[in-house]
Amino acid sequence: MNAPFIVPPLKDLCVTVVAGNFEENPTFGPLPDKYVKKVVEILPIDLPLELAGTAIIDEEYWKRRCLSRWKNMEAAPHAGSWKQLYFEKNLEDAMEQYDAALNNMDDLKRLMTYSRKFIQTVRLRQLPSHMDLTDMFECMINSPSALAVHYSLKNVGMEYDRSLFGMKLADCRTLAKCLEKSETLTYLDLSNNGLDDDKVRMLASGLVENLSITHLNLSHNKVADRGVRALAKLLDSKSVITMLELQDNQIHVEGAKSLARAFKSNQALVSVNLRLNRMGDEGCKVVCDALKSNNSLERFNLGSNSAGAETVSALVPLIRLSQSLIELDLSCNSFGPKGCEQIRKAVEQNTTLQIMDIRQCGAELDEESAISENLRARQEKRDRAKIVGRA
Amino acid sequence: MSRLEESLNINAQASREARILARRKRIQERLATAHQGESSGGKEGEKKEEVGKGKQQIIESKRRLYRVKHRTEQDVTSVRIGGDEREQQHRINEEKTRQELRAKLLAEAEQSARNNASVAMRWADLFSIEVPQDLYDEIEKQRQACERIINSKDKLIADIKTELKKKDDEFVKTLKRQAENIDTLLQYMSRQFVEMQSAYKNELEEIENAFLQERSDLLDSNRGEIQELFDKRSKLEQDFMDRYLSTVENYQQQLEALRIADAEDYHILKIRLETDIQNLEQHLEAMRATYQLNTEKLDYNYRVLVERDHENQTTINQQKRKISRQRDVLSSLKQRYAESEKKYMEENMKLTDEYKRITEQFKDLQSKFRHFEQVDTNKYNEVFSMKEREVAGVVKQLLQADKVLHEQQLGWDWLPPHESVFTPSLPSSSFAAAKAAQEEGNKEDADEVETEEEIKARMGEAEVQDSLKDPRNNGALSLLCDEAGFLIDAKIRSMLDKLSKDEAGQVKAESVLRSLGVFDGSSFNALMDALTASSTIEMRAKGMTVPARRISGNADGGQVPVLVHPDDVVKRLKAFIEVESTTPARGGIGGAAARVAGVSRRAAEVEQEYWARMSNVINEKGTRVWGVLEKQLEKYKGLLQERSASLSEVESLQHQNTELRALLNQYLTSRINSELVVPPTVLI
Repeated sequence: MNAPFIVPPLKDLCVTVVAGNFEENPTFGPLPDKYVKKVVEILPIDLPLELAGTAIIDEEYWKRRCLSRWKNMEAAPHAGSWKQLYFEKNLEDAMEQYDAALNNMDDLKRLMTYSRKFIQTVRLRQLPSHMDLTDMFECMINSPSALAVHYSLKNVGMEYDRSLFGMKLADCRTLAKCLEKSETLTYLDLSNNGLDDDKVRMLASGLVENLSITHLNLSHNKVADRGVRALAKLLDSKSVITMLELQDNQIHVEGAKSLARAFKSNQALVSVNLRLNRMGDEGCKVVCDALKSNNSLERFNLGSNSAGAETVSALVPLIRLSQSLIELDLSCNSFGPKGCEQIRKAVEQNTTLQIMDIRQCGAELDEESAISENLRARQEKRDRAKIVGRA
Repeated sequence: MSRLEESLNINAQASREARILARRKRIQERLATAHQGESSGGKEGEKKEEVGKGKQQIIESKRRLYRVKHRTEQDVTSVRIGGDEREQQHRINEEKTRQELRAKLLAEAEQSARNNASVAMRWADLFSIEVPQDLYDEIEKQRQACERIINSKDKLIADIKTELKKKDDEFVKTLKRQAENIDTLLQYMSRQFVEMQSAYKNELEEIENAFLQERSDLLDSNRGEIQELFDKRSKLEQDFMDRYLSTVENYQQQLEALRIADAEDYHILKIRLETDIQNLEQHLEAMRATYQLNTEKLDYNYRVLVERDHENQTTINQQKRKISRQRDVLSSLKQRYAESEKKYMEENMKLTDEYKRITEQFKDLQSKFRHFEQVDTNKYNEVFSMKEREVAGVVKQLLQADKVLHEQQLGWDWLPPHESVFTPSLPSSSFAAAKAAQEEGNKEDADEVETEEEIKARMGEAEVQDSLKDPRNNGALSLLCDEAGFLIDAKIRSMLDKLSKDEAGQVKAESVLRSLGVFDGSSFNALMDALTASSTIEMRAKGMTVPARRISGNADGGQVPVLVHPDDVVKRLKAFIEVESTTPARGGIGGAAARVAGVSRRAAEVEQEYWARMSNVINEKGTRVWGVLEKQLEKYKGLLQERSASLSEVESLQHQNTELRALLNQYLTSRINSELVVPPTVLI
């Protein structure tokens, strides 16, 4: 009740005035940090993005702005920066909602151009417009280091049409051209895009020229032997791809063979995921044999490939001799009790393995638990050494 | 119906999976407990001492958490793996069914194509049939065949439709299962979350408890330790305090005693010092009086001295003037002296040169003389030795003859004369002696003193020195120095000025003695003797042989002999020198010549003796024997000559006989005999 009678300090008055006129005069001048903070606290969240992006760096403001626009947001996946999150989300929304008939392409280009400074990742969960990604790469020179595109449509309901989903050959062609030129992109995620062999080959022709992508994700597609052969050509000794994800594709024996040839000379790969393919016993054996000469691979997933006894004979020396393998997933194969016993013995001789999955392989329960106990004991020993050493 | 069955089936499958999972869990837990027991038995026992309770708990908790995490993760991922497995099976089945379907389709297409062909062929036959009944029948048949084909197609379509329906159902089922799976996954995840949360909470609590426990233990132990240390410290402090108090008391007592003693000492000292002060004051008064007196006296003295000083000043001035005058005189004298010295020096130089020349001439002469003497002696020696050799040869021959006569003619034993008859003749030995004497002389000429003589001289000097120091001779020596001062060397005289009186006397005496030629004890004694009043030396100097008095007897008397009158000293000395120079014992050229003469005289005697001995080698008796022997041998010779004549006669007769015998033989052996009727051989 007494509040009206107290005259607010001049400083507060000034702060409110500065905040109120910020849009016309978007600068703090030589204001001390304390007052800048106060001004930012009361700034409206609907300031023009271009102005706010250049003038405001205060995270609290951007957090306020993010949370008022979207729910369940978290800054951690965006390098802990609310500002980056806002810009990335904003651009993603704009691109996902883009419709050539309704929106102006120039506006989008402008948005891309001034967002470029604050954006690291572009993650598009739908792209019904099938827009030309060349524009994006041209507008955002040197900016996106990670790109994930899913050509799909959300909330379709009864309007389902098969043609709405998946990448078209033209999309692949433009993307390949962009990839040729890009020098900053390190992460490319094209999972769940219905890529078949021809499209993959198109993409691979672009990837040949690219020397920046280290993480390639082509999972949940329809890549078969010919596409894999084209990808295998990328994995030569000059390749920089360290993580390759090809799970849930249609790789058969021939594809496995071409992959095996690539693995022999490659020294860069750290993680390979080949889960849920159709390589069969022969293909798995060839891949395992090839990996014996590789000493950089740390994570390897060979689950659900209907591997059998022949694969075991190649896997056992691989496990026994490898000095780099840390994680190995062999689940859902048909090794049978004998094969599992051999694998268990090999694991006992290995020193580097930390995680090993051999469920649903026809192993005896004792074998499985023996392997996990072995690994667990090793882990405990490491922990103890770490603690005792620290002490 | 089938759906119900399937749902039952699913239920059964699910329950089976659940059972498998439960069983697996049980086994894992059992194994885990077994493993835990093992590891806790082995490892923890040895590590426990090293690692603290909290750390131990952390390790333990980590292990438990890892287990929980592993278990729950397995649960969560099991859903994915189950889905994968099913998907794989489904794909394989689907491929199989697709292939079956395709095979069926192909078979059906073939079948229908064949049927179509047969139907098409029948159409051609149909045109040939004329009878409508038949045609109808045939057409009916054709229609039936077509219907069959259509039916089979329809059947296939129905099959495929059912397949489609099945697929639809399956899709729905899959969707449902997926929803179920997602539900279970969510369930598992939430369960894992809850479990992990509670496990972490528990473990955190336990770790905290363990750390608290460790902390409290540590605190307890530290507190006990600190308490112990405090006790120890307080005990030590108590001890120290006690000791401190006792020592303080002790020192106080000592201080008190010292204070008392010092006070007494101080009193005594004070009294003594006061008395001293009084004494010293009295003394001071007395001293002051004397000083007053002294001052007056000294004042007077000073005045007197000042007066005297004035006088002295004047005299000094006079003396100075005098000195300057004398200096002028001295300089003129010096000039004159220098001139005369120069003159004399020149003279001296001239004379020295002449002396040198004469000495050279003399030396030449001497060497010539020596050379000729040497030559003569050599010639003589050579002649002598030649003659001697001849004589020796003759004598040897003679002796040989004598020996032959004795041994061969007389049959006597021959005794050779003694060897010394030949040997001592040695004319060279006498010559060597002469030569040695000569050399001795030469050496003396060359002032080369032999070591023996040197030693002798030194001994003599020592004797002289001894006797000089003898106080008994003091009188004689002083007399000598006074009267015969002209004998002292100029050099020594200059030296004398620097020496003390005693030393000067001694040196003077020594110098006089040296110039008198007294170098040994005996001559010194003689000199002393000559200086006594009763000496006979003058008479001895005139050639009379008066036995010298026994000096030793004089010395034995122990009295100082009466010395000669100073006026006669010079005379006596002259006589002494004469006597000393004539004594044969004195060295010098004259002595050496006499010695040489003596040696040659002795050599001549030896030679004479030698010659006499040589001429008498064969004695009288031998000569007589020789005469008789000669006569007898003459006779024997005549006899032998007669015999020799008769012997030659016999020899000629024998010769004739042999000649005749040879002739006879010749005749007998001649050839004529064989021609004869009666050879003469037969006749013989």
